[in-house]
Amino acid sequence: MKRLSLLLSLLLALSLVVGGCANEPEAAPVPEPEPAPVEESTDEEVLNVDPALVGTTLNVFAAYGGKEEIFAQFEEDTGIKIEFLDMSSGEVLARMQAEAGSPIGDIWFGGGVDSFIAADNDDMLERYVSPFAGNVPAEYKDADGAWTGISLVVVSVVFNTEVAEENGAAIPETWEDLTKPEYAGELLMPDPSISGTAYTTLSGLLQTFGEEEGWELFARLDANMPYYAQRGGEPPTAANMGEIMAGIAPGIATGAAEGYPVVTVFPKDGTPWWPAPVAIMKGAPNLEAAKVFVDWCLTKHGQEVLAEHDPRPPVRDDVPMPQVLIDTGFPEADLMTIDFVEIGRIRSDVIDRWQEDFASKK
Amino acid sequence: MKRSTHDTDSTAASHEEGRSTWGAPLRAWTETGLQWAMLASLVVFILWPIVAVLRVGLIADGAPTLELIHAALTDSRGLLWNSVFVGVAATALTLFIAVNVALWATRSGSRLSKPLFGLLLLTMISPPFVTALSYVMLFGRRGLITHQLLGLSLNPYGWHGVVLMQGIGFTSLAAILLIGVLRGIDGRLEEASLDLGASRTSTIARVTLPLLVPGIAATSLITFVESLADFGTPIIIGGRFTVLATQAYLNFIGISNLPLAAGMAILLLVPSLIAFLLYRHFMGRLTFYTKGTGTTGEPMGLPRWLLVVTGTVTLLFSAFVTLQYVTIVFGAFATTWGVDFTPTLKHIQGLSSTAFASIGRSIRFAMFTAVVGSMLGMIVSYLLERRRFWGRSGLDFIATLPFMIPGPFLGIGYALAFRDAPLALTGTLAIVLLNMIYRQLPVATKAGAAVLSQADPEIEDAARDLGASEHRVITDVVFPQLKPAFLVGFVNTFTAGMVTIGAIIFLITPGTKVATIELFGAVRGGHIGVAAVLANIIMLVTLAVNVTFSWLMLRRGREERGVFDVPATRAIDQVIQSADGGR
Amino acid sequence: MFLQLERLTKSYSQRTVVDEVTLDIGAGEFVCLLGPSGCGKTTTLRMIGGFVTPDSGRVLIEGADMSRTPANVRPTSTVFQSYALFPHMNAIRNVAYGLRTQRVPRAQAEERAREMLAMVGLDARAGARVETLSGGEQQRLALARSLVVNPKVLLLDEPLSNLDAKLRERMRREIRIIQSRLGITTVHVTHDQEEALGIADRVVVMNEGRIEQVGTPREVYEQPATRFVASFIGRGSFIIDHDGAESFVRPEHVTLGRAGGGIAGTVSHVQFSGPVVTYFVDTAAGTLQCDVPLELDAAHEPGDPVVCQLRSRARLAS
Repeated sequence: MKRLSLLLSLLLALSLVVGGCANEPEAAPVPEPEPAPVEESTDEEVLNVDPALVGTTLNVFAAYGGKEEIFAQFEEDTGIKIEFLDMSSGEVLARMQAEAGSPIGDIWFGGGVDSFIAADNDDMLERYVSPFAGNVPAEYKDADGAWTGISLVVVSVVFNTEVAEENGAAIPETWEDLTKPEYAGELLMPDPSISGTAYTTLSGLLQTFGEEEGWELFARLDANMPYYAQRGGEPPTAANMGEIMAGIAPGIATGAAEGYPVVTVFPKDGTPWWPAPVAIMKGAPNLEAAKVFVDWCLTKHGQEVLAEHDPRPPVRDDVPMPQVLIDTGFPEADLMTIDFVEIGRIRSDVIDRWQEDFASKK
Repeated sequence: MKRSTHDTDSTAASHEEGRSTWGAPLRAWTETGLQWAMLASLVVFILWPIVAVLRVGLIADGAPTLELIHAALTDSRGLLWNSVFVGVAATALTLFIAVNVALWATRSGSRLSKPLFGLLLLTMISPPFVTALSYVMLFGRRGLITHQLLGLSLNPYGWHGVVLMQGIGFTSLAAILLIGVLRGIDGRLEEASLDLGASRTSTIARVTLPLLVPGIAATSLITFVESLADFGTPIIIGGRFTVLATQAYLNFIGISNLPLAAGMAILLLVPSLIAFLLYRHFMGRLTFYTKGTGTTGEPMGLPRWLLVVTGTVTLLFSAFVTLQYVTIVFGAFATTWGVDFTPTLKHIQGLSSTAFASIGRSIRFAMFTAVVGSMLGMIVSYLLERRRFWGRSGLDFIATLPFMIPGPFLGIGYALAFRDAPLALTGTLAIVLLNMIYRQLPVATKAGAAVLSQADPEIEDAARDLGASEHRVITDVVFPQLKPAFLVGFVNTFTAGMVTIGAIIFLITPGTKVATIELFGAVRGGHIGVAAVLANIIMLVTLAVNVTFSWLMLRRGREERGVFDVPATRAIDQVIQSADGGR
Repeated sequence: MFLQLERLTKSYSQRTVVDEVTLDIGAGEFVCLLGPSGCGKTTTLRMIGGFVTPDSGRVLIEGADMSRTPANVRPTSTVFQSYALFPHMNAIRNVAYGLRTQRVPRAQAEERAREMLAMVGLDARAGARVETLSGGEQQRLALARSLVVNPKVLLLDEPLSNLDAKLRERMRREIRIIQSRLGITTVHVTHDQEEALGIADRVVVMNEGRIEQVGTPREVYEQPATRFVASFIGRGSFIIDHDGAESFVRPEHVTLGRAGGGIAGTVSHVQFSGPVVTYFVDTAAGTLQCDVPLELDAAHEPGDPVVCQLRSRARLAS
């Protein structure tokens, strides 16, 4: 409440120093840095935080791995506290729509880009172009700053080798492989009408293989699925537990590190992906602190923190790929070319057809 | 001494003069105010959210429509049928087990009855997803029993699992209620039957069970409605089998098709309401038989064959739930369930500070709502039982509504109803607490009403007669008598506050995250160890608070064992009795 | 008059329960409201106590209108039929309660409560929980609780109905003794005519919300004003005189002989009940009941012709 008069100083305080970054087109003019708690950082970028923001609390809806560690680091760097709620992006979207404009929080962190696009269409996101967004390629962000990609979510098949061994099945390499009879009843995918992962996979197949061939391939995949899961997180969990042999998952098989007999498969004939965004909710009570958070995510340091705690491909090419991704063979994966605006546009048609042909299986 | 008392009397008398002029109108004014305040609060926090859902589900583009109901009804998966089918099957299973367990607990004379009752009380506290999770851990394709021990690889997903786990999950509460009813049956009736030459078997069949019918009917109804409202179990172990509650939840949360979700929620009310009406129709004239005064005789022993049957069912049930809960305990200490059972403390040590914050919040919220909600319930029950005023039956009806409204319905309703001024509560702590309070109001209210309907209203007259103001009547006489009802309300609201997720999942924000949400996250992320740790903490805390609170309230009281039985059972009967529009 | 009821009327959903009841009661008087259940006697008592507000009419105590004064400030005190003892308080706290509401300090209140308990013979049970007391003890406790606040009017609502016969008689005496000692104006409601006759200075017989007769026990017994009073109190026979008027005869006022002047009839039934033998005699004027003291009994048999002499009879108003 006492932040009322600080609007102007915030603009100054949110200053940043960009140095040695030649490809930075939007380098902002550099005001006098404030004597604020300055994070320990690489020498290229410095994120200055208005001391008035120290101690404020951001409400964050998050769908991201390692968020506790990530947020702890953010707090340490900026002095801004975070309360977060673990929620899939579809749920956040539903909540925002149900509340019809009353802000439910400050920050929406990670999840399916389709939900962010839908939320922006309903004018529920604050437009903010971060001074650091210039480091993010255009296809990973909204041009008007409604949302900005912070990492890539890569769809993989989490594959349980123990179950495979028992059933005498080989590790699949492609979507085509997964249609083989040896995976009958062993492939699990979420309901595309609920899960962004599943919808991106389905529409990615259609864009990659062509509409008719895509549906035909999907029909053969469908033949191997016992049912459609009702939560995005269910297939990898089921694959970990050996309830299923292969589960389609956002990200790699993190269960391997916990000891589950699973490996990550990136289908060679096209790996679906999408940029995981960060956005500020319209009417966010802590707008200025929220901007600091977005900025932080896009700094080199922030990107490194994100990559360290959730092994995803970063959006900045000056941040190294997490080693575990390299180990799982991600660099060899052939990412699909996906037009996100287009798949957003045709979503209801695709879902309708899917409902018609496959949904009864649920 | 004598003199001073006389002084006191004359002072009191002079006070009387003053009060007789102002006391009555002031009292009437305060009471009318209280009645209106209660009615208004119930309309705003129960009726209005329900109307908000109905509006979305039944009105499209400003015109009434049944399109959404029709869409929900004609869903190719036969959602309504699935819901009703699972409801009926789970209820049948629950009743079968619960009647056996209750008969055994009250009539076997075994010393194990006491620990059995403890087990039932413990397993009544069931955090969401836990039974379903333990089912997968035990009987899944890689389950401890089916795979590790028996070497099987069964597909456990489908309606069987849902019916089995719901049936067993609801048994504890059903059995506790039936035990209460059985304990209340006058043993002399069974003695009379034996005396008239009936065998034990036919006494059970012709006397005991018919006397148990009202209890069975009430528990059936509760189980059926709970099964209809349960979306967590089908979502985890239903596989391709899905029900209305699940789809309503997914449509709201997953697809954000709010109108369709509302339509499904409305459709879900139909079987629930039909069940209530059937109950009212057939059970309307039956009452619970409670003991008269005087000697009531020892409960009759069971005939040998029935002892064997009930004993076997009880043993199997106890073994199953024990196994379930032991699984959850072990799950908290196993490195990676299903793969590496090496004992570890890493899940406990790895519990984040936010998880602890959420647990702390859960305890604070549940404690606050339990105290406030039970007080509110006592006030409403007092007004209902002791006052005649305009809107009384309306108050009664509204206070009962949350009992038959599935949790998600009320959660969605709150989200819809309180987003705009003047009651813009979106994202606040208040909306979460209000929802928790009003959702559990029926049980507290009805427990209070049950106690008051049995208490002699002359006792309150006596206090007035002896000079107590209305305020003192309530604090000195009414409230002390309501203690058992308050306790029932507290335990129920506190437990619900600790374990429920159905309604508040639609309302919480990062700043109001509670333990069940952490648990949900852990289940969703497949972190079985963390989920098990959280489930254990939730259960232990709930149990500890309930036991401590009961002890504090009862330690100086005359109430003895079985203090819950009559109020709890009668409360639920009364909830049902008044469900369709007050008495 | 100490306590006055002026045309008290109360209806519940069009049924008039108490209908224009007017009654004057003197200071220190013990008055019984007697009547069958549903006659309005308890409602009348509750209007005096302030638990029921009259539709019309007034309740005056020492001339002051109390009709709208709430129970908690009315100088009356009730012993309830159920005793209405506070189940969560022990005996002495029950008694002290009325003093505590008048802000009498605890020690002083308990001191006076103890005196009152001693008066009703319960001093040894001061610390006992209510439900451990016997019926008679609970009754006395309720009485002590009402008396300790020095009410101007003591109201007794069927206080003896839950006791067995022997105890009832004893308590009847005890209540009357205590009442006389304190000189407290008392209104007692009962449906038991023997109790009413045995305890009251004056009996008020009520029926269907109205007062049928007010009088000393002797008056209402010997000169019942109405047919209702006659039939409700004691036993007796209605006979039709030659002029067609109806009168009422008590059984003890009939003498039985084998011959002589009187009403001739035939013994139809004989009933032995200890001190007297009751004969039922069919006559032209109706069936007569006749009590013959045991030592004077001539052992008539059913069917024997007898002659009944009436020593006294009451002419009935209607």
